[in-house]
Amino acid sequence: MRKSDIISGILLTLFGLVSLWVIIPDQISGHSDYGLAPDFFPRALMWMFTVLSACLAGSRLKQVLQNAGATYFDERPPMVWADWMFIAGAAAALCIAYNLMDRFGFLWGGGFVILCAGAAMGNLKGHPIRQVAMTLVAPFVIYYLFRHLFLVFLPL
Amino acid sequence: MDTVLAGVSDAFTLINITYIAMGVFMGIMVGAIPGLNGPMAIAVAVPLTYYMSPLGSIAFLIGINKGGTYGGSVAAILLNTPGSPESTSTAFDGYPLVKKGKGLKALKMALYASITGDIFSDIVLFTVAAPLAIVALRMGPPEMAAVFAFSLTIIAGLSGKSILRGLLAAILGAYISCVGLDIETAQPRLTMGLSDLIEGVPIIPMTIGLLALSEILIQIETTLLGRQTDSGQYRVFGKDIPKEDRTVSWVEYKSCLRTIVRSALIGTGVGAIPGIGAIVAGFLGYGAAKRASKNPEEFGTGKLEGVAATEAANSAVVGANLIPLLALGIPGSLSAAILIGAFLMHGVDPGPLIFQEHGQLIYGIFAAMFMANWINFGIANLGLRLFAMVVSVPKGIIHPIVVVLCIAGAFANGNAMFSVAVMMVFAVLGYFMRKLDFSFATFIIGFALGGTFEQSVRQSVILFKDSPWTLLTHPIVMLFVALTIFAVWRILNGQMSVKKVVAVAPDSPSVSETKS
Repeated sequence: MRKSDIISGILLTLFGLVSLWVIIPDQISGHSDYGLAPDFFPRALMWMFTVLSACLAGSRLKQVLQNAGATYFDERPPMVWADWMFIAGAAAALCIAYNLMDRFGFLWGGGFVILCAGAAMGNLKGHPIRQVAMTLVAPFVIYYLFRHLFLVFLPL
Repeated sequence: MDTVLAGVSDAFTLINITYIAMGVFMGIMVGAIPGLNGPMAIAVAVPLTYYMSPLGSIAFLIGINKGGTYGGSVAAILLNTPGSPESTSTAFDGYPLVKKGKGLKALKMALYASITGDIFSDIVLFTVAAPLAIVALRMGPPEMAAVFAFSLTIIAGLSGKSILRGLLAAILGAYISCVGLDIETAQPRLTMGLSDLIEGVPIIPMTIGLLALSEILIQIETTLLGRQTDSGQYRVFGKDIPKEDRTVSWVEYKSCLRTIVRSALIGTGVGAIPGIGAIVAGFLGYGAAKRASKNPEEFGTGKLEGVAATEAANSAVVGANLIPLLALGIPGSLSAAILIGAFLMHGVDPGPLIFQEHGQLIYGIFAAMFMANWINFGIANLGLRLFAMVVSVPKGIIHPIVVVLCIAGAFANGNAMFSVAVMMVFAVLGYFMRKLDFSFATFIIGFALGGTFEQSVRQSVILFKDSPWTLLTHPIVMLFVALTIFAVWRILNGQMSVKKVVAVAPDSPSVSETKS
């Protein structure tokens, strides 16, 4: 985790600095006549966040520079190329599902999600009929379950 | 007394008993499936309780929590794969017992120990929460702010492998809780111009994303990239298995009673302290039983006492976790943080005033919790075969359906697509948090506590702006400030003396940490 801590520490420090100098001044205005200004708490939290992120990156960097003994756990990359590809694909699939659900309704969005998740689980290769049945039936069952049992009207 | 009786009678209605039974059943089913756990089920179920009464809703969710805790042990024992993380040490002796043909015995001992631990911790909750709330009522904003600061430190420090990552997660959670209207000036903060964020980031979709969907994404990835390892499955039901290997006799239960009580005490103590959680309790209970045993070398080879020790300890956390939540408004665990969302959804603000303002509801919840233990006992006993079968349902069926349930559950929070978007964003964030080992539990608790913490700090500033030195005359404030400093020092000290013991197996590297 040492290398990933350095990279994530640097990225989080940058996020903290951007928040402190860009996001908070842009997004929070006004003042209080009696107590603390509206931006006091977010700003204080972001300062702590930035300092701690820098500490995280700094402490791990110091270990690397001092050639301190690293364990397998320290050096193992938490994410490999395949993980990045997977999460990018999953995020894209979720975006498509969101748009399908928003434009055409839950049945389309739900069906798409089951198709994608099932395909990723190897259903298309191993159990194609089960996958097709799940894609077609499960969203209907969930829709009617929510509608009649929990009185939640999913978009149709 | 009238309030207590009214609350208890509220709980004993057919509809509430049905809700509890449904919750327990759902909890055991979900807990039994490896990779799914009680808090995930609670997160997905919270939006479904909109149309229930406050008591029915909380009783339903507590039923899921109790059922989920036991359900986790089913997979741990039968598959050597913990259904939920707190059951990890249940597998140490549970699975060897299955190999010996005593799987049913192990499942039953896990159930009896779990129920005993749960009842013990509930009794402590019933007796301790109300007096603690009375003490808490005497505390003003500065005292509450000091208590919150102390709790956040403990939670951040103890919930992960690194205090820095824990603190970062807690602070980020608290920062995100700032989104929405400012409590004093009503100015919008960090809303990015989105009107949907005026009321802040909704906690329920956020929790579903962080807890449930991100975990499912990780599991799908594990299958897709071929990182899954299957453990052998053994037969536990069958008439050819001798009766003594299928049941737990009174003598066997009695021989484990000392261990169960010890573990229940450990679990209750751990549960009452915010942030430690059932996983640690399970390991502590197991370790204490092993140390106290005359034959410690038998642990890990299929000793019934090992199963009892873990299950009594991790189940005892469930009730005790609600002590800080109900008495102080501080969620001691992930489940408690999600329950805050459920309480708020029904117009109930958890904290010391809850006993005054909603006394009848709270005593109803206590009665429901007590009932849930017996319902858990009944359902788990009757449905052992079913739950053992659930363990074997292919993940290819379960995971896609859970993803759709997450989407539907998020939408149910306010019937808005915005909630679905929030859930998806936090699912991706949760994926990275899991991969980079940032505690998402600390993040959620930081988020849940952030608003109240800010309110207490700002009220204190208004009250003591002109004379801050008078805070020195507030003993509780000084005590908790000192405790916070001491906790930071202890945790940092503990972190430095952690010895990492790395055990690299040929195909699956594993790491365990021991504190010296």
